[in-house]
Amino acid sequence: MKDDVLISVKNLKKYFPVRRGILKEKKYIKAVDGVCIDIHKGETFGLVGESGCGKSTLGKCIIRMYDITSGEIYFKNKEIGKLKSSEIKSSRNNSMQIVFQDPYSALDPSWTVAKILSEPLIQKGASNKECMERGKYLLNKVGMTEMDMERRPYEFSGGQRQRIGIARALMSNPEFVVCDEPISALDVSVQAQVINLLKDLQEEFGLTYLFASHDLSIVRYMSDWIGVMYSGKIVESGYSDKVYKNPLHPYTKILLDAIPSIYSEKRKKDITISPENLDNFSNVYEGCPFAYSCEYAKEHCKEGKPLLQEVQSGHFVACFHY
Amino acid sequence: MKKGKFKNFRKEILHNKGAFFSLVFLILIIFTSILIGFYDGDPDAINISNMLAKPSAQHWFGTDELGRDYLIRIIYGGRVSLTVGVLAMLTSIIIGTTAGISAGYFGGNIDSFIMRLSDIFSAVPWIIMVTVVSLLIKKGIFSIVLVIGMFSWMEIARLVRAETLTLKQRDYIQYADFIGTSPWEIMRSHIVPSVLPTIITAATTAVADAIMTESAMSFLGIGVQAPMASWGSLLQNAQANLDNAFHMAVIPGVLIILTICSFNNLGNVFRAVAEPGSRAGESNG
Amino acid sequence: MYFELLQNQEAGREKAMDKLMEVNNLKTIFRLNGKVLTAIQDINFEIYPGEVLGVVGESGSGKSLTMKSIMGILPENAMIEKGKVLYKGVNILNLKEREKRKLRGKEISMIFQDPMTALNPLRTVEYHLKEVISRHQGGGKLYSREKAIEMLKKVGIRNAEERMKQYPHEFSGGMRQRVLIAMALSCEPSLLIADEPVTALDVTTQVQILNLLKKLQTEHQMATILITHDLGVTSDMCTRVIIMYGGHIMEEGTKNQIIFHPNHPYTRALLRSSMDREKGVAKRLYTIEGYPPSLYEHLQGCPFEKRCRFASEKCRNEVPEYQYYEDGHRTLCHFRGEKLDER
Repeated sequence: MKDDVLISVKNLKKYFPVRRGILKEKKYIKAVDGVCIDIHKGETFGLVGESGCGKSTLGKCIIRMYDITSGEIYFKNKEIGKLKSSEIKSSRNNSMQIVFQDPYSALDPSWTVAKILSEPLIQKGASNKECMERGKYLLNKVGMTEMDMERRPYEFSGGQRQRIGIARALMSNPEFVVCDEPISALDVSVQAQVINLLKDLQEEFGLTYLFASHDLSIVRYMSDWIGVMYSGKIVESGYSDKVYKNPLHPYTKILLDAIPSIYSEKRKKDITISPENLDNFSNVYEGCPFAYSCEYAKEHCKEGKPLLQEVQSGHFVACFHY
Repeated sequence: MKKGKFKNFRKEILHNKGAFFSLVFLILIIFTSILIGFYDGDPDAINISNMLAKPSAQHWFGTDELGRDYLIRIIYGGRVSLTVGVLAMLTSIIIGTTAGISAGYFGGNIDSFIMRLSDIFSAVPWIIMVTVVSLLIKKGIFSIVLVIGMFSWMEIARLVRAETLTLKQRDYIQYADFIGTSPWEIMRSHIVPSVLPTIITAATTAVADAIMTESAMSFLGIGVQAPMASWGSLLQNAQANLDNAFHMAVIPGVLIILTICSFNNLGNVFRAVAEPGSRAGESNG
Repeated sequence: MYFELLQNQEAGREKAMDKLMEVNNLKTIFRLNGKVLTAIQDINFEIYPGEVLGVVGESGSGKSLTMKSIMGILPENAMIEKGKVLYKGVNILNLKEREKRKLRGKEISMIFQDPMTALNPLRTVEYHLKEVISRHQGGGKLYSREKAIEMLKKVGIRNAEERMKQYPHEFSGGMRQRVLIAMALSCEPSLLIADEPVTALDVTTQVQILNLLKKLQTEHQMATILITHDLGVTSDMCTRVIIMYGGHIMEEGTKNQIIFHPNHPYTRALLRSSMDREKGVAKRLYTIEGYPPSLYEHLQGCPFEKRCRFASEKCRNEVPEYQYYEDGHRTLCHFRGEKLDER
C-alpha cells in the first residue's frame, strides 16, 4: 500500500441553509456532517451511497468547489479548507480536478472540443499552441482522434462526451481527480470502456481518485479503499475487499443485498428503509441517523451518535452494535 | 451548429409563406432606404402649386400639403423609422442583456435590485414616462432612441435572466468557476453564446415594438420634428387632410403595419429555428 | 365497433393459454431532414397473460420505440410503416384514436422511466388518480376518491389520504414512481408496459419497487413487459426475455435460456461484462468495443457486425435470418451458438 497521504479530511462539515423567511429559525441541510477520511497517493478511494447521502458534496468540498462550513482539509500537508475561494483560485495549480456525472451538462454545447479542452490551461496563461498540443495528446489517450478537436459536443454520444470530460480533467496534469458518478448516465456496454480507461490513465499518470458512485459493485472493482456514506456521515470504511466480503454496518449489508444479481435465484427480501422516508432534516433526530430504519436498532441507538472505530485491521464501522 | 441552423432557417422560410413574404418585404424596404441615399433631388422641395395631388404618373404617391413628392417623403420617412427602430432595439438589447445576465448569474442582492428596477420601469405607464422624459431632453433622433431603449429593456432582461438561471446549474459553468474563470469571462464566453438565440428572437420583436413606439410618439408630436419625417409623423400630418388626401394617411399606416408584422413573423421563425428541439434526430432508442 | 368486439371476446375468454398480445413484422420509421430512417424492423414477439417479458437493450436499440409504436404514442416525425399488433385478437394499430384512448389505461397501461415528466406539477396526486379512474371506470367523485386511496395504500404509500393532497415535487423519486404505478393499475389492465421503471432510482428503492411490481403482478395476473438495460433486474423479474440491438431482436428465449445458454454474441458479451462487475475480480472489465449504432448509419448487414468478435464478411453484407433452438429460443445471427463456441 502507498504510504503518503495525499489528502486528509478532518471533521468536515458542509451545511446548506434553507431559506425559511426572516423570522423563522434557520434550518440547514447537513449534506456532509463530520467526515474524516484519508486518501493515499496513487490509490482510489471509493465513496458509495445513495442519492442525497452527500458523496457528491464531499468530493466537491475536498477540491474546494464549495466553501466548507467547518473542518479541515489537508492537501499534501497544506491546509486548504480555510482558504478563501479567491486565494485558492488564483494560486491553485489545478492539481485537483473533477469528472462530472452527466455528460450532457458537463460540456458547453456552443464550444468546440478544442476550446473545451483548452479552458483549464488558458486560465493559467498557457498559449493556444500549447493547449492544442496537449489537447490532441490527451484526446488520443482517451481513445479519440485529432479530428474531433474541431467538433462540438452534440456530435458525440454520451460515452464519447465522458471521454472528453476525462481528457479535460487531465489537461492541467492534476494529481487528484474526483470522479463523480462518471458512468451512471452511460449505456452498460460503454460503462466498462470508461472504467477501463480510468484505470489505465491512473496507472499511466499516477493519479489519485475519489470515485463516487451508488453502484457498490463498480466501486468495489475500482477502489482500493471504500467509504460508505449515509446521511452525510461515513458509516463504514475499509479495504474494499474487506467491506465487500464482510460488510459490518447494517446499511452496507442492505446495499450489498440490493444489488441486482444476474445469477442469484434468491428473491430479495423487502427493504423497509428508504432515504426518502426520512425528512431531509433528518438531523433533527438524535442518535444514529440509521436508527430509524435499522432492523437491529435498540433504544440506545437513538440516543448517542456512534463514531467510526477500527473493528478489524483496516476496517472501520460507526455502529453501536460493535 | 451554425451550418445546421442556417439550413433549418432556409427551410422554415421557404415553407412558411407568411415568413417568406415578410422577409422579401423587409429586404425591399431596407434596400429602398439605402438606395435613396443616392437620390439627388431635395426631399424638402416645396412646390405650392402642386399641393395634395393625387397619385399620378409623375408623383407615384401624390404630393403632400406642401407639394412635396410623397413617395420620396415616405421613403425618407421609412429610413428614419427603421433607423430609430434598429438603434432603439440595440439599446434595449444591450441594457436588457447586461441586466438579465447579471441578475441571473450573480443572484442575491444584485438580482433583487435589478428586478425591482425592472418592476418599477414596467409599472409606470410608458406613455407618461416617455412624454415626460422627452420634454426634458433635447429633441432629435438620438433622444428618441434613448427614450425608447430605456423603457423597453425589461422584457428582454426577464427572458435572459430566466435562461441564465437555468444555465448556471450546468456543470460546465460550475467547472469554469472552479478553474478560476472570472464571472465576467464566464458570462461573456459561456452564457452569452447560449443565450444568443433568445436574444436574436427578442431583437426582432424589439424592432417591431420600437417602430410602433416611435410612430406613436411622432403621431403625438413628441417624436421627430419637421422637416424630418417618419411614418408616424407623416401619419400625424395626414390627419389634417383626411378629406381630400386620403392616400396620405393610408400609405404610411399600411407600411407601419406591414413592417411590424414582418418583423414579428421573422421573430417567430428565429424562435422556431433556435429551439433546441429542432436540432436533427435525437431519439430515445 | 372494434371495441365492442374486444368486450365480447373478453367476456367469453376462458383459455389462459391464448396469447394476450402478438406483434407481427412491426417496422417503424423516422423522417428526419428529408431522409427516411428505419428505427425498428422485423419485430415479432408474443406475450401471454400473467407472464413477465423482459425487453433488454441499450440506447438506440429501439426498445422504447417498439412500445411507443404499440401504444400509438409515437412522435410526430415517426410512423409505423408495416406490421400488426394483435391484442386479444384485434389489430390495435388500425383502431381510431378514440378507441385507442379507451384501450390505453383500461386494457394496456404504461409507466415511464422519469416519473417527474409523467406528472403534472401543477396538479395534486389526488387529481391525477381521480382523472385516470373516472375516465376509465366512470363512477362518481366519491367512488374515484375511495378507489384512489385504495390504490395508494396498495402501492405502499402510508398516510394516503393526506399525501394525496400533495404535489408531485413534494414526493421523492421512489414515491412518484409508486404513484405512477397506482395510476397505471387503478383500472386493472391486462397488460402493463414498464419502460425502465427503476433505472432512475436508488438501489434500495429499486428493490422495493420491483418487489411491489412482482406482488401486484401476481395478484392481478397482469402480463408485464419490462423494458430495461439491466440484466440483473431482468434476471430477477422476468420469465421470458428479448434482447434488442440496432432496431432488431437479436435473441429471444426464456430467462434461463438467455442467462445460462445465450447463443448470440451480443448477449454473451453483455452478460460477460455485467458478470465481471458483479464479481469484481478480473483485472480488466470485459468490454464491447465501439458504440451502439445511431439511426443515421445505414447498415446493410447485421447491426452488431462492427462490434462482434465473430463477425465475418457475410455479416457485413447480409442481414441474418433467425436460428432456432429448443422451446422457442432463437437468435438473429449467421452462426449457430455451438459454432461460436468453436471459434
